[in-house]
Amino acid sequence: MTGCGMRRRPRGWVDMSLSLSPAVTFAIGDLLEGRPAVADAALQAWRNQALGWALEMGLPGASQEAWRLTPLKTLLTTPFRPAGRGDAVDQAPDLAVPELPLRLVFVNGVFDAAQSQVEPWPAGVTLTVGESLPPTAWDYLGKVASLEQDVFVALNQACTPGVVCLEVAAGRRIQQPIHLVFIGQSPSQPSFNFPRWLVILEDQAELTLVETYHSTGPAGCSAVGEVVLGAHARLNHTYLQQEGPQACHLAHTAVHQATGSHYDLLAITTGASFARHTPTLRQQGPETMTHLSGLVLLQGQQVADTHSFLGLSHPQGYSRQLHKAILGGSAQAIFSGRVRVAAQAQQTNAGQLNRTLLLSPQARVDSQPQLEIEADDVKCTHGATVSDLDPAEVFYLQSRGIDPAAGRTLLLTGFAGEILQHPSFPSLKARVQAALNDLSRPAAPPDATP
Amino acid sequence: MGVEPGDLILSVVDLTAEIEGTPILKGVNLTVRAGEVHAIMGPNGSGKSTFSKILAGHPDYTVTAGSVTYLGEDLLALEPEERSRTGVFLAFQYPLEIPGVTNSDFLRLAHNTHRKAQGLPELDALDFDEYVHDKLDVVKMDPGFLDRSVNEGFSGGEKKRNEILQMALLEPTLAILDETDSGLDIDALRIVAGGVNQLTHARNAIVMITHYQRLLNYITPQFVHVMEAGRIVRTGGQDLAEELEARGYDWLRDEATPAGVG
Ligand SMILES: Nc1ncnc2c1ncn2[C@@H]1O[C@H](COP(=O)(O)OP(=O)(O)OP(=O)(O)O)[C@@H](O)[C@H]1O
Ligand SMILES: [Mg+2]
Repeated sequence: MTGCGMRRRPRGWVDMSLSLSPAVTFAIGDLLEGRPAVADAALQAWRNQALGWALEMGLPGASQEAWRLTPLKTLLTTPFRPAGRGDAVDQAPDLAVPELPLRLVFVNGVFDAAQSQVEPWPAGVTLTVGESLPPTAWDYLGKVASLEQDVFVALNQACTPGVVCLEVAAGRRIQQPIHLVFIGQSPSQPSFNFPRWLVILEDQAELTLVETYHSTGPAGCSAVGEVVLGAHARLNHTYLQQEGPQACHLAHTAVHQATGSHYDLLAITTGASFARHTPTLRQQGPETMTHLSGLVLLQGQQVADTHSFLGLSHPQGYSRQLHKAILGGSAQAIFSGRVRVAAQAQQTNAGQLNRTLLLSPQARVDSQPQLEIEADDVKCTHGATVSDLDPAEVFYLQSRGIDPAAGRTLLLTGFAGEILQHPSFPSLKARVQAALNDLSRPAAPPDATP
Repeated sequence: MGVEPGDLILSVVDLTAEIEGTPILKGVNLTVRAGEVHAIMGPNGSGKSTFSKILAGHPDYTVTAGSVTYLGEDLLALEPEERSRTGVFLAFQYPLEIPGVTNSDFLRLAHNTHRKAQGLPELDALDFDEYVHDKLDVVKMDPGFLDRSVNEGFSGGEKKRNEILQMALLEPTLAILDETDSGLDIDALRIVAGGVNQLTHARNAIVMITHYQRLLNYITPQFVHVMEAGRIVRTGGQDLAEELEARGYDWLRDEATPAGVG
C-alpha cells in the first residue's frame, strides 16, 4: 500500500478550524420532519428505512476521516429547511442544451413535465418518474449507493420526493443522449432538495447520460445517482455542476460495473459556494474499464471537494483517473482519490493523476491520492502536481501580440484541455469555457467584491 | 505601417537598465534604419539578451534612463503586446514551452491579433491552416509540429525554427533574433538563414545577436556591434566580425574605442 499527500496553503495562512466554532444551524431532524410526503407505500417504506440512519449518523465533522479535509462552515451554518413546491419560482431559466433534445427537468427534486422534453422517446429505454417504481428498480435502489456510506445518502433516501429511473434493454445502443436537469430554487429562505436517479443498463446496452445542476438563491442539494452496468454495457456520463454562488451542493455518483463494461465519467464543477462530489465505483467482473475525468474551476471563496473511490476486485481491470483543478481568488479544492486493487485483481492497470493550477497566492488545494494495492501482478501509477500560472508564459504570448487576459485564457484552456477535449457537446463546452474565461480575468482587489 | 526604405526604425539613446537593483545596461546607443541588417556580438553576460528583452517589454527589467524610439514613438510606453502589434518581434534565445496549448492554436491567435490590429478580418481554423502551410515552407518545418504543444519536447533547433515560423507569420518591421543560430545543425542553419533572408526587405530591419561569424556568412550585416559590460563598445562592418572570430574580445578591452552609431 502506498499513499502520498500534498497540501498547499496560502502565505500567511492561519488555521482557524480550532478557534472558530460557528453556530451550527444545519438540523437533520428538521429536514426529516419537514420532508415532502409521498403516497406510494413501497417508496415510503424505503424512505423510512433511512430515518434512523440519518439521525444516528449525525452531522459530518472533522473527526471523521472522510470529512477531515472538508471545510464545512458554509454548509453547516446555513439554516436549511426542506424544499417544498412553493419554493419554485414560476419561470425557471432556460437551461436547455440544443444538442440534448431529450430533457427531464426536476425542480427541487420534483419532475417538471412542462419544462421537460421526452418526444420522440427512444425505443429500448424505459422511463419512470415519480413514486411507483418498476420491480427491477427495487433490485438496485439503495443498494449501489448505500445509506450506510454517508449521512447525505441517508438523508437523500429519507427525504427524496421521488426517483427517476431509466432502464435500457439488453443490446440496445441508444444514440440520443438523455439530459437530466436539476434545478434548485430557494428564493427566500434557504431550502434543501434531494434529487434521486437510477440508471440500469442491461447487458451490452449503451447510453449517453448528462446531468446538470443549477440553482437560484441559497439552495442546498444532496443528489444521489445510482448506475448499474450489465455485462459489456457502456455508459458515457457527464456531470456538470453549475449551481448558483450561494448554493451548497453534494452529489453521490455510485456505480456497479459488471464484466467487460465501460464507464466514462466527465465530472465538471464550476458552481456553488460549497460543493462535494463523491463518485464511488466498483468493478464487479473481469476486463472492466473505468475512465474518470474531473475538472474543477473555482474562484472567490468557493470550496469544492472531490472524494472518489474506485474498487477493482477482478482480474484485468483497467482504470484511468485524471482530476484537474484551476483555483482563483481564495478558493479551496480538496481531492481525495482512493483506488483499491484487491488481491484477486491481477493484471490490473490503474492510473491516477491530480493536477492543480493556483492562480492566486490565497488559493489552496489539499490533495490525497491513495493507492491501495493487494494484488502483486499489477501496473499502477499515481501522482499529484500543484503549479502556478507562469508569468514567463504570459509574457511569451504578449510578445506575440496576445494581451494578458487572452493569454491567460489560452493557458487555462491548455491546462484544462486534456479534459475538455473529451467528446462532449459544444454548448456544454461553451458553458465551461465561459467559466474558464471568468477565471482568466485579473483578480479584482479583495475589497471590490460587490 | 508605411515604412519607406531608409526610414528610421529604431533609435536607442543612452539606455540604462537594471534587474532587481543590479545595473545591466549601462548606456546603450543604437540606430537602425529600414533595409539594414545589424549584428550584435559580445561575450557571455554582456547584456545582449537583456537588451533584446527590454525592447520586447519584459516586465522583469527596469529602464533607469535613456530612450527608445520606434517609428517615431516612445517604445517604452507601450505594453509588450502593443509592441508586437506595431511590428517589433523578438526571437527568444530560450523559447518557452507551453504545455497543453497546441502550436496551431497559439499561432492562429497571435496571427489574428495582428490582423485585427491592422483592421483585417480574422482567419478561421481552416483558412489559417492554408495560410500557415505556406509559411512552414519558409523554414521547411514539418506540419506535424502544428499539432503539438507549443515548443513542448521540441529539440533546441526545432524551437528556433518555430521562432522564425512566428516571424514569418507576424511579418515584423523590426526583428530581433537572439542567438537564433545556436542549437541549429549545419543544414538547419542554412535553411533558417535562408528563411530570414526571404523575410528581409527594404522596409524592415533585423538585429541579430550571435556569437559566431558562421551565421553572418548567410545573412550579411551592414553593421556589426560589440556589446561589452552593458555598452556597445565598437561598431564596424563584416570585417569586425571576422577579426573577433580570429582574435576574441580581449584586444577590444585594451583599445576601448567609444561606441559607434550605425
Ligand atoms: N535577476 C538577476 N539579478 C542579477 N543579475 C542578473 C539577473 N538576471 C540576469 N542577470 C545578469 O545580467 C547579465 C546579462 O545577461 P544577458 O542574458 O543579457 O547576457 P547575454 O549577453 O545575453 O549573454 P549570453 O551571450 O550568455 O546569452 C548577466 O551577467 C546575468 O547574470
Ligand atoms: Mg543571451
